[in-house]
Amino acid sequence: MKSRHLSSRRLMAWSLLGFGLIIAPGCGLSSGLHREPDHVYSDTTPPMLQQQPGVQPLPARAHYPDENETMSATGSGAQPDGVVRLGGKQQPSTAGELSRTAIANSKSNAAKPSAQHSEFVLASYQPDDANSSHPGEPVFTQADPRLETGDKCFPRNQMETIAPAPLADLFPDEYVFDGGDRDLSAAMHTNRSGLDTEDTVAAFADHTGELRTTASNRVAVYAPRFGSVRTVTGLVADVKVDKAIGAKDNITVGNLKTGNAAQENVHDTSLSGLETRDRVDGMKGALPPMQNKRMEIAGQNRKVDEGHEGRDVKSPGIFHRKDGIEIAEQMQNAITWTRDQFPVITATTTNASEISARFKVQQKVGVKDERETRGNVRIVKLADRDEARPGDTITFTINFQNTGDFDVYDVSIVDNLTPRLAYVSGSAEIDEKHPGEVSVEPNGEGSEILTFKLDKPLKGHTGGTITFEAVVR
Amino acid sequence: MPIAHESSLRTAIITLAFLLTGPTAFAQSGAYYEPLNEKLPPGFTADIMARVRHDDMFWLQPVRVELPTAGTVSVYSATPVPIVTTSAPAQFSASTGHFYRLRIADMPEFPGEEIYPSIEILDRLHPPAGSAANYPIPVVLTEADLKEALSGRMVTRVIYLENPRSAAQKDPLRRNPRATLDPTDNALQEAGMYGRPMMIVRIGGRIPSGPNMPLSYFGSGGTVDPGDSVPAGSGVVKLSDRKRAVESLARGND
Repeated sequence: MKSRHLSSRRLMAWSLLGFGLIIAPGCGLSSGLHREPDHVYSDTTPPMLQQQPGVQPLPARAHYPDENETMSATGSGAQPDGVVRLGGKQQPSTAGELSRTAIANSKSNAAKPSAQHSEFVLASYQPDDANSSHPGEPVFTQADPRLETGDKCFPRNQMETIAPAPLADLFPDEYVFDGGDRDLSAAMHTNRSGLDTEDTVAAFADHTGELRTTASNRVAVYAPRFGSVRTVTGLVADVKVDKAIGAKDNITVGNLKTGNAAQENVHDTSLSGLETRDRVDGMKGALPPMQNKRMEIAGQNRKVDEGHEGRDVKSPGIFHRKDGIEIAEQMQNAITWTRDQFPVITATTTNASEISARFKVQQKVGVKDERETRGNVRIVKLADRDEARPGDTITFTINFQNTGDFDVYDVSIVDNLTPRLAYVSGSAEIDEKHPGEVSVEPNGEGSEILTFKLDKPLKGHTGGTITFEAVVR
Repeated sequence: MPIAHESSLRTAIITLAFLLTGPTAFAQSGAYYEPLNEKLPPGFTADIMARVRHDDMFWLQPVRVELPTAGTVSVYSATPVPIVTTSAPAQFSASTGHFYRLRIADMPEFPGEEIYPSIEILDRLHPPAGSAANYPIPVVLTEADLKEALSGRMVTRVIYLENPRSAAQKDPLRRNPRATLDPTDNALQEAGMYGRPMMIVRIGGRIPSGPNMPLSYFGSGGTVDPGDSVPAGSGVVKLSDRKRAVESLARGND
């Protein structure tokens, strides 16, 4: 009994030791872990967001749900090239009021394209206590832009949503969306591939000739619509139910199909019963396949061919006139080669001469092109209301801007409306500074595709405005 | 002990009903198996969905009842006494995950007739703050539905929130309803293909036989708000405005 007690104690001690060995590395690892921040901030303006000289601010306003954590570009000395997510911090649930503010601002500014104060929101974030960071705290770096800013490394489908409530992304069936580039990325230069409903994209060519497509932000308008399906049951319907069970009649129809006499006959015919009988009757040797096989024996033909070969072998005994000439020539050659006069081969080598010249530029005449960043069209889409019922009219505003230094060419802005929106004919307008044309075509899903084409190249750091109206179905 | 006995009995009944109606849904063709259907007892589907989603129990979903032309609408919630009686179109708010009994009467198309449909609220909307009353779930009782119900049949409508990306050009709720399904089909699953099921409306010809009707006939006990946030001119009469309610009932029209 005592020995058992001791052995149990020993077992417990070994267990504790093993447990300690198991957890010890884990403790060491956990103590050495450094959790990286999910989102990072920067207190410096990204190079792509630096304000360019001569920039004409657009009468548009992109916003983030928390208005208090964004900064206006007015007076800040910075011109945003994209909206940057303010990650790493829980957003307060006051987005409804904020977005309404944003919409109101957009409405007031949409009619003033030449406003002096830009309403673009600088999306980068500068924490209040940035200078008072203590050692050991996470280091904030630049956040990722959420709209394409001309760099290929950012996927275009990451789009900002302007919505009247923060739950728009969770319950998208309650909203009518327009803008952005959902699902597959739209490539307007390759037969409009990836252009889904709701998409709003800009297609253009930069100064290098590269064809590019950029997407706008996404606008959400609260406009739920309902439908219904109906069933009718009852006494009469019960009879119908019986008939539906008599859909077993359909099963009998299926049985007729499976019992199709034609198919059975075909199978019976295909059976080799007749052949068996033929074999029994000794008709096997007379079967055409057997005869054909014998007729196709290649040995006979081969023998005939060999006979021809034999004739060829014998053919040298027959001299034709033309053969005589050849034989005489061969005899002469044989005589020639029997002499000691070997043919002499001579060869000469001609050296090639190469002339090279090097020209030195003595003088440059012209103006140095100081443009550096290539052109990039950014479009911001806005709606004049955040709620709508069927029958209401929504005025959409698309602000486009070339955020690069170089001009962009063949600019076209395409908006594929969702089936819940119907374009109001003749309502599309482009500002006077950027003349162009508007084409409307059905999108095959009950709505329209609007294509705005600018007549002239869009110069660097310039922009314009497009407006159109749509009725909510 | 009686409470426990009643609870176990209720569980047994619900389980039995589920087992009886489940194979019907399972036998149908579809992209997925939907264990719930509109043929389950009123309130069962809503209760299951509410437990799964953990909805805000204090949220009251606005509902709007529309009749062909006019009439009165009474709302019951597990009591034989209506919580609100108003003229159509009637709008009120009720908690999700429950079913409620309505009384429709005083319709000029069907003089002297009354029907008692039930509504089962499966899901809720998430409108912007302060806009809930502007977006109720519409319960449209068409004249065809009422005729079917008065002739002894049972009309079941599953109202769904339409998916905007696959929306039809016409209004599917009124002018262009989806085709009437076969009684053996699962209307709940069919509605789920078009959008998000929001409500099951059962319109039948059954009339309460008297004061001995069980309370469960009048609903599952959800909260009903007569509608403090009802827009003006919607035809809704608050309980506090009893004078107007009586007048509306007397006229049968508002």
